[in-house]
Order: sequence, then C-alpha cells, then structure tokens
Amino acid sequence: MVRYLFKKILETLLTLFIVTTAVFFFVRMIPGDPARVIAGEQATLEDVENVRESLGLNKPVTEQYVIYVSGLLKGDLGTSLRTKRPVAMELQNRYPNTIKLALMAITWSATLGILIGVWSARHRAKWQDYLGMTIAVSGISLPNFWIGFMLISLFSVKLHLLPSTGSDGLKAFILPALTLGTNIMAILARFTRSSMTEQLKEDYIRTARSKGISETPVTWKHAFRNSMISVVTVIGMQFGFLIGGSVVTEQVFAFNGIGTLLVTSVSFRDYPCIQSLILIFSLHFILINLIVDLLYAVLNPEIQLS
Amino acid sequence: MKKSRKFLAALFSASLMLTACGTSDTSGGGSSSASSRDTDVKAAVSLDFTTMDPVDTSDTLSGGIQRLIMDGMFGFDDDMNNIPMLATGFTANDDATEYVLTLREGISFTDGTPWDAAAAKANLDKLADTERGLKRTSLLGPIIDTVEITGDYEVTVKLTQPFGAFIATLAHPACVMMSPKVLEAGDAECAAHPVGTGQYKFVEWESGDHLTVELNPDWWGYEAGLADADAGFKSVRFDVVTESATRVSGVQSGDYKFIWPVPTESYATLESDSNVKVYSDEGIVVYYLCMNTQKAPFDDIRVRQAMNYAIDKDAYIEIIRNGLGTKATSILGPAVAGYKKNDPIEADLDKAKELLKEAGYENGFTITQYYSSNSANEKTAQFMQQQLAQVGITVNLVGQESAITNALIQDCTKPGSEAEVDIYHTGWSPSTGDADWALRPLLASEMCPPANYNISYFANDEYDSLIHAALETADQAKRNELYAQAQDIVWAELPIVPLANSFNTWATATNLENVKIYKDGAINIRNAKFAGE
Repeated sequence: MVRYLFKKILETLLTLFIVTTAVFFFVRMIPGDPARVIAGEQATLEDVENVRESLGLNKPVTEQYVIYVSGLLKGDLGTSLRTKRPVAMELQNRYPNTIKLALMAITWSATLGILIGVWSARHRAKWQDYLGMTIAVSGISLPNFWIGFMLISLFSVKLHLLPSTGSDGLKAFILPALTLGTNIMAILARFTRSSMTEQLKEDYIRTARSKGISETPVTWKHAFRNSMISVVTVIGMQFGFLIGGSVVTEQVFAFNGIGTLLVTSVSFRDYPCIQSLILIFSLHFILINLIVDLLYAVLNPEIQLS
Repeated sequence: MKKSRKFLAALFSASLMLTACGTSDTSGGGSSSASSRDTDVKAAVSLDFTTMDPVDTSDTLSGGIQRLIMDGMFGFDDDMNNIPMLATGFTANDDATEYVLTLREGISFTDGTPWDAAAAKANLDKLADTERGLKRTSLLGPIIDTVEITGDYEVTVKLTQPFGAFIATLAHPACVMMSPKVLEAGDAECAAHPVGTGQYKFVEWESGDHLTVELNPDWWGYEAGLADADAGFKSVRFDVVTESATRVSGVQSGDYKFIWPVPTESYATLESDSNVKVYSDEGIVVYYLCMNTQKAPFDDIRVRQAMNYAIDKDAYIEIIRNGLGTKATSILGPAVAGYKKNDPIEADLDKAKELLKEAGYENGFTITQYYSSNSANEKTAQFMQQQLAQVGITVNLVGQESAITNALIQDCTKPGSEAEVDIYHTGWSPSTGDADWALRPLLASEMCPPANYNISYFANDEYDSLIHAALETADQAKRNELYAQAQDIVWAELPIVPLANSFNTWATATNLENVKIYKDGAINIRNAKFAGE
C-alpha cells in the first residue's frame, strides 16, 4: 500500500510538471496580445508597450518560464495580468464556492440518481421503471441554463423564497446546486439502472434468492455493491467536471466560481490565471482518480492495489 | 445498506480532503471579505471591475465607481458639463502651455490627510510618470512637464506643448485625486484600497462578485450644494451579474434596487412591470463604420459616399439598437464639448448605385468585415452584409475571438494600404467629454494603428492642422470653431459611415429615485434617494 501510494505520488508530480510546462507554452501560442487586451480599446501604442513592460511580458519566454516555475516551487501562483492581484487572491473566494457548490450538487444528484436507478431496475418494465426513466431522460435533455432560469422565475421572481444570484449563505447555493445536479442525477439514474439490471441477471443473485434471502438484502447487499464499481467511476468523473466550475450555471446565477474565472482569464489572455486554473483542474482529476482506485478496492476485495 | 452508507461517507470525506488540498494552494491571500448583511441598496452591473487605481483603468464601469470614491479637480454635472470640484478655478497663459490651478480649501481625504497643493502635486506627478507602466499615464504623461507648488492651495503646471484640452482632461475619470498616503503605499495598494475625498467611501471589493461603497457623511459636496446629505441609505453594493436575463429577474424579484445596463430586448418587459422603473438616455458613444481610406475601393470618395447612401440608419437603429438610439450627426455625440451638428445622410440606394457606377464599380466588389464574435456583433455584421448586398457589394464576414480581432485591427503595423481591414464596425466614448479625445484618436493621421484607433487610416492635412490648432489654445470658443471645421471635413470626406448615438439603459425599483447614468456610461448616484421598503 505504501509503495503504491509512493508510486502514485511520483506519477502525480511528473504529470503536473508536464501539464505545467505544456500549458505555459500553449497559452502563449494562442493568437492575441494580453498587453493589448488589458490596455483596452482606447489605449495608444505607448500604453500597450507600458503595460507589456509592467507585466514582464517583454522578457524572453524562457526567462518567463523560469520565473514562473521557481515561483510555483515556492507556492506562488503568480500575479493575475488582468487585476494585478495575486492569483491566489483571485481564487481564495471562488475556489471554496465552487467546491461547496460541487459537493452539494453531487450529493443530492448521486443519492437521488442511484435511488431512482435501483428502483427502476428492481421494477423493470413496470410503471416505476417508466417513471424513473422519464425523469432521467428529461434531466439529460433539459439544458442547464433553461432549468436555471425556470428555477429563478419560480423561486425568486414569483415566490420570493430564494435569492436569484450570489454566493452568500447556504440559501444562495440551493438553486445553482439544483440546476447543476439535474443532468448528473439523470445520468447516474440511467447508469445505475443498467448496471443493476446486469447484476440482477447474474447467477449469484439466483443462488441468493434460492437460498431464501429476501429481496431487499439481495438488491442492496449483493447486486448493488457489485454494480457500484462502474457507478463510482461515473460519479468520480462527473465530480471532476463539477469542480472545474460550470460556466453556464455560474453565469445564470451570477455565482462567483472558478468556471467564469477561467473564461474571463482566457479572453483576457491572463496567462498566470489560466496556468493556475489548469494546474488545479489537473490536480483534481489526478486526486479523484486516486480516490476512485482506492474505492474499487473497498468495494471489491478481489481488486488488489499494486 | 450499512456498507453503502459507509461508502458514501468515504466519498464525502474524500471530497473534503480534496477541498483541504485545494485551499492550501490558495493560501497567501488575506482574510475573506466581511458579510454584507448591513448593506441597504443592492445593485447589479453587467461587468466585473478591473482595478481601483484610476491611473490604471481603461473601462467606464471601474472609472465610474472610482468617481464615487474620489473627486477630480474638475468633474461633470449630470449633463456632463465640466464643473470645478477639488479645484475652484484656473488661469492659463495664451498659448495654453501653463496652467495655474486654485484648489478648494478645508477638505480632507477620508483617511484624514488634508487636500492641499502637496496632495495635488503627488497625484499630478503620478499621472505624468510614464515610466510607471500604468495605462492612463499616456493621457497627460507626455504633456505635463513640471508641477510646482506655488501656494498652500495653488499648483502651477507647465506643459511640454500647448494643450487646450488640459482642463477637460482633468475631468477624465483617470484624473481623480487619491490620498497621498495610498499613493505612497504603492500601486498595488492604489489598485485594491482607494481613498479619496468623495461622496462614498470604499468598503470592500471581492473580485468577480461584488464591490461595496458607503456614504461619506462628511463629504464637502453637501455644503457646496452638489447633493442632499440625506440619501435614505447607508451603502451600495454592486454585484457583478453578467447574465442579462438574471439582472432583469433580479430587479423584478426585488433582489436588486438598481440594474445597469438593461438589455434592450428586455426594455419592454420591464416597462410593463409596476415594481420597476426603466430609463434610457442618450449617451456619448457614437457607433460608426470605419472604411480603410488608403485601400481600394475606399480610397475613392465616391465609394465612401455610396456606402453612406447604402446603409439605412433608421433600420440600423431599429434592428441593431432595438429602437434605442438616434441618428449620428457627427462622429461626436451631442453632449460632447465641441460637437457640431451635421445632417445625417439618408439612405438612397439609387444614388449609391450611381456613385458606384461612376467610380467604376458597376458590378460591385468584395470586401471582408472582421468582428469579435458575440451575438450582438454577429447581428451587426450580418446587417451590414445585407445592406451592402443591395448595391452589389459582397461582404465576407470573419468573426473571431475578441483578442484575435483586436490584434488584427489595432496592432497592425503595416501601412493602411496593406492593412487587412476593409470595413470595421465600432463605437467610441470620449471619456473626457471633450471633442479632442475622439477627433484625434479616431481620425488624426498620426493615430493610425498601432498608435491608436484611426482604423479608417484617414490622413488629411487640413483636418490634422485644425485639431492640433484647437489644442494650442485654452479659449473654448476658439476651440469649438476649429472643431466645427474639423467635423465638416469628416462630413465631406466621409472616412466613416456615421450610424447612431447610443442610449444608456438602466432600471430601478420604484422606491429608489434619481439614479442616473452619465453620458459617458458611468454610474451616477450623486443624488440617489431611497424611500425605504
């Protein structure tokens, strides 16, 4: 186990190094000049040159790279070109907001999605199944921005129950979390259903039933546990996307998260901000994959970590 | 069931672990902002603020908020007329190379530092310091030579060249005065924690989320009669809400007492809502179409005239500006000092075709129009394509991401005859409220890209000498006369197709009154009054 973790950590560091380097050079290959964007449309050539110098963008790219990497090693993510504030400062409120929102969304959607999936599988080709799958198909088909606006017009404009925007207090998280989780709930419901249906056809289920074990433990203890491997993989992936921030949902609810920050940073060619965000996203995926791997071993003792 | 609960718990704690890992990445910032529960008035704006350092600001929104916190030596009344603020007056020598500014006495910055000649000098010196790498030092940097303290409340500014627009430029939002204490603390401090003498005090700014200001009960302007001290609220919190539909539902639900701007497509909806008042007012942004006058076919005046006859301005206002606009009568808006009215050129397709025939383009020609892709620009580009097709001109549309388009158009180092641009749709706001900051950057020959925004590559000696002569005097009547002649040249030479004067749009809850938008698009809550719920 220790050896496994050690190997994983080495792999992680190597991946992060590759990502850092690739992103650093790739963002500089996108056409468009950050000095021009930041100086603004009314800027004179002189302004643009001033900005370029003050941002250190007139230095050779290799020198900029050395400065960036040595900063990273000291834990310094650099300074945002757009706001001239440390990138860490840009992230300090947005990052926890996005994580909180993602956790809320994944918690309700995974719980409900799995329950609907199991329920549908247990009552395959009956009304419960059709109802469950109708919900699932609707959840997948309805676009996020539409769900968001519908929730706002119902709960904020008509009923005055919940705020339409912002990220202050738990109440402000409810509508965005509902919006964000709908698709995932639907995907998980369908996934769980098919995975459960497969398992319920297996021989060991027939054996269990023939031993006289009642339906509830057969479903949950035997079939469910075995069907979880693929479901956990999907949850891990969806969660990975969620903590990358959702641009659409953040826009609709004027939610201060990292998705919008990434889009703004790209349009401003805010290199340090883009680099840091992609670095964080990569780190997320690596960690989530690691957790999912560990969970496999928990779910199925036959899987050995090596 | 037990097992699966354990599993969910494992997933949950794993995610928490992740959160912990993540936040350690972001350490280094200060403590997070305070809650805003005591805020009285919440407003929603469409853009994020960029910086609080006026000398480094290039967007109207941030400049407008800074103008609440900091006063300039000169400023604007509601109609954008230049009024003295922290200065009480000035004298200039005849050739506009030396200005003596008299300062208002008995005023302090909100951090207690007195406003005096030393404070004025510190600010002017910063504006003049082009080495500093701040965006707006180009405004006065090349012009200010020395700033001398010639009395406790008097500074004398010597200029490197005659500059008649000096007082107008001092009213530019970049020229508001900041406490010398903050200036000393460095540019990072100026960008994050502005302190001025203004009607509002800066409270906090959480980038991407909100910015809060609170009323300064000791503002000198109350005694000077600029506003009534009883506003009925304590502070204003500006939330960044980029999504238009969300802003609209926010003011309808009562979450926001004030939103800016109102998307033109929602104007009618809000008009019919009894809880909301919606406003529109002519601004100083003029929309126009540049034609590259150094490149065929636009090097021929007849083609430029034909373009002006081909494009229907009424249709432009109706379709592109949703009816909110007036036909442009100059390259300047009517509220700009030095504006001269000319007659809009009405659409006349026969005349356009005839002119094209005369110029040898009977069968039309093909050009390219670049634009930054967003839905509004795309609609505008398609409109131009359709209008010009009526006279046989084929327009190829190339929509690209804005940074790419700007690099192509503004950073072009080739001469006009080789530049990629044929036609380009744009708008300009002269934030000084003075003719100079449009006529010069937009059409002076030395302002062709990459120097500035003369995308028409217009080069006319007479025009150049008129606008430069207007800078060599501080006599406003004389300057107006010269600018009028320059605008007549624009109308005769037509390096552009003038389209429309913009409208600013905003909406408030019915219990919040006197919220206005300055002609330049900046927020004006100097006389705002809240009647309570």
